[in-house]
Amino acid sequence: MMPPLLDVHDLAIGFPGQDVVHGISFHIDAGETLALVGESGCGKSITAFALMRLLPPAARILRGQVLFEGADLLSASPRQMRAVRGKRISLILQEPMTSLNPVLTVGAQIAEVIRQHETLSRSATSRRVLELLDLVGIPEPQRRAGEFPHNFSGGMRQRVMIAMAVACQPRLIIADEPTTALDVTIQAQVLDLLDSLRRQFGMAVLLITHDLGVVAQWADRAAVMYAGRIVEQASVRPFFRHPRHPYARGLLGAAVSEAGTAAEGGHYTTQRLTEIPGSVASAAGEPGCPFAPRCPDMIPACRAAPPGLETVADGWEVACIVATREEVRHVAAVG
Amino acid sequence: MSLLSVDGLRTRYVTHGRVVNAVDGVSLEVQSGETVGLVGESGCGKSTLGKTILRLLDPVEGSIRLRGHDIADLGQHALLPFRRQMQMVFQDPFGSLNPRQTIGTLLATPLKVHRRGNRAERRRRVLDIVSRVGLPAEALDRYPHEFSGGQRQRIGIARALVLEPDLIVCDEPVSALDLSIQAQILNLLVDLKRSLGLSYLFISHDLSVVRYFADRVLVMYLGRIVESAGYAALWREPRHPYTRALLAAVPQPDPDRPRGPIALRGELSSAAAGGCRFRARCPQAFDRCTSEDPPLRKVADGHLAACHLA
Repeated sequence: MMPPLLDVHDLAIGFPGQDVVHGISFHIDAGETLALVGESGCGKSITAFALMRLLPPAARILRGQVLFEGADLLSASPRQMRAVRGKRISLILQEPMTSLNPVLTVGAQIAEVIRQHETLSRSATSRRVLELLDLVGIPEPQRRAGEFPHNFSGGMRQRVMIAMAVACQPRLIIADEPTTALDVTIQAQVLDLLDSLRRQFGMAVLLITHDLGVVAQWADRAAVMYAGRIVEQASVRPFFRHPRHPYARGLLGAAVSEAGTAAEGGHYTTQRLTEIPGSVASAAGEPGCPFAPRCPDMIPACRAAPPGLETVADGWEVACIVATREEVRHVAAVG
Repeated sequence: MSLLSVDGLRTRYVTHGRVVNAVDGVSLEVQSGETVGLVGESGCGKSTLGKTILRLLDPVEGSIRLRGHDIADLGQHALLPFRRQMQMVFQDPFGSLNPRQTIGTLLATPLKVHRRGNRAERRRRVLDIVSRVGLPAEALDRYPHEFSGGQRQRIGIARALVLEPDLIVCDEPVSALDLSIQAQILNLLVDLKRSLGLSYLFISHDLSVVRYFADRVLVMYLGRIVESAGYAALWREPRHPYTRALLAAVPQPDPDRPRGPIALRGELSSAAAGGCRFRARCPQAFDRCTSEDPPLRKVADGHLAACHLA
């Protein structure tokens, strides 16, 4: 079996006085899209920055391994990391306006990425820039390459970011809420573009999002984070059909989905939304499962220690002592 | 009589010498006890419309009738009694709460401004509102930064409710909140509507939320209402190509229901002169769309659309 493209082991990240990621493990296979899902503050973005070794100065990696193409990025030198960033792994952020340089033309910024990693002549570089703009669906690349980020709409700026990200055909793109700032029609265009480029170049994508619709439509597998831990990971299809972790179940229940037709429900007049009571802060400073104070299935044992991920089926892991116990019972009953 | 009746409303911004009609001839009604959803992409004018109805912005044309009284041209003083009847809940509950006032002061201020009751009565009223939105009485002595996003939105709702309004304009009230908190706030808004007989104009870019929460839905594009229908009819049988594209673009949390192809190309831009303002992005545009601006007309019972093909 091929080793995964990215293999993260027991990664823990902390700020002074507060740990934010408590030892998470996941992997991404070549060419697949893994969605890292969770609500604000769950640690999904800081995880992305840790993979790129771009943590804010106060944050520290406390332990763990990030194996990318067999080498541990956490022990790579700054020089080795510079060769990885943009070339082997690229990052796309939520707000392209703040990640693009406002006083450089779009063409110059894409050319900079190419120059950083490849030795191409001046004219070959500018040809490549135009090809990339064309590839991401920006009309009139010749003219647009000479314009500044503020001349572009939000959707077009995100296309520019994608052009920069794929400029050196990396093996992995980390996209942190790439469409959260965009309208829904533009979101679909941008994610479709990213997906088609992924297929075309055989890249893998780590898609960080809070939107379950985006996960269902654009990811192969999902890893759900809660309070700095992965609580469930599985292939998208079985996960949406039957999420095991009570938090994941609650999230899907809380989603105002359009399942069914308007006539048969899903409207406030006939159906109340499932609430997850309380907030993430509820468990601060307690020793047990971080979701326990909000959990409908909580038993006294949940208060003892945070549960680790356990395999419940092939490629399906859940961190919940109640859910995995039920699974064992279920399997025993069926078997 | 409708609770709110807006007719031919126009709101104009002048930026860099350019005139933009952000609201460009909008007519709508909200009945007592009704929730009307207003959807559209960013920049379509939906927030401007909400603020103009509340007279936080001044219209250049048209009427805004609240139980029959036109408030479009009233001066600030004459407006005061009407302001009590219409309140707003904002998207960002932090930016809209004064960080240096306790929740108690924040909630009592509208009562003071409108000279309602004495100190003790105001305190009672504020306590009642705080418990209605699901916050403990201790919250009154604390400051906005001490609360989570969801709790702050409860405070924003409490402030809108304290004067016992009939109509609340909610501008993206759950967009800044996490999913698990969204459900709490939407359920709260439903409970309050039932117990207090409120009407909502609910502005949102999130079609799934509007689909759940609204009785009737208005779809806005470049300053105009392009379709209006009951929530069930709109999702069952959208008539305007823009509405259809918008609905098709919403990613469903169900991998077994893949999205249809996106018929819509390009992005919201300023309207070309003459003709239908959607024609540049419309997959079905034809000659007549360039020459003739389609009016909003009845296409079925309770269903309006502004499209030659609807």
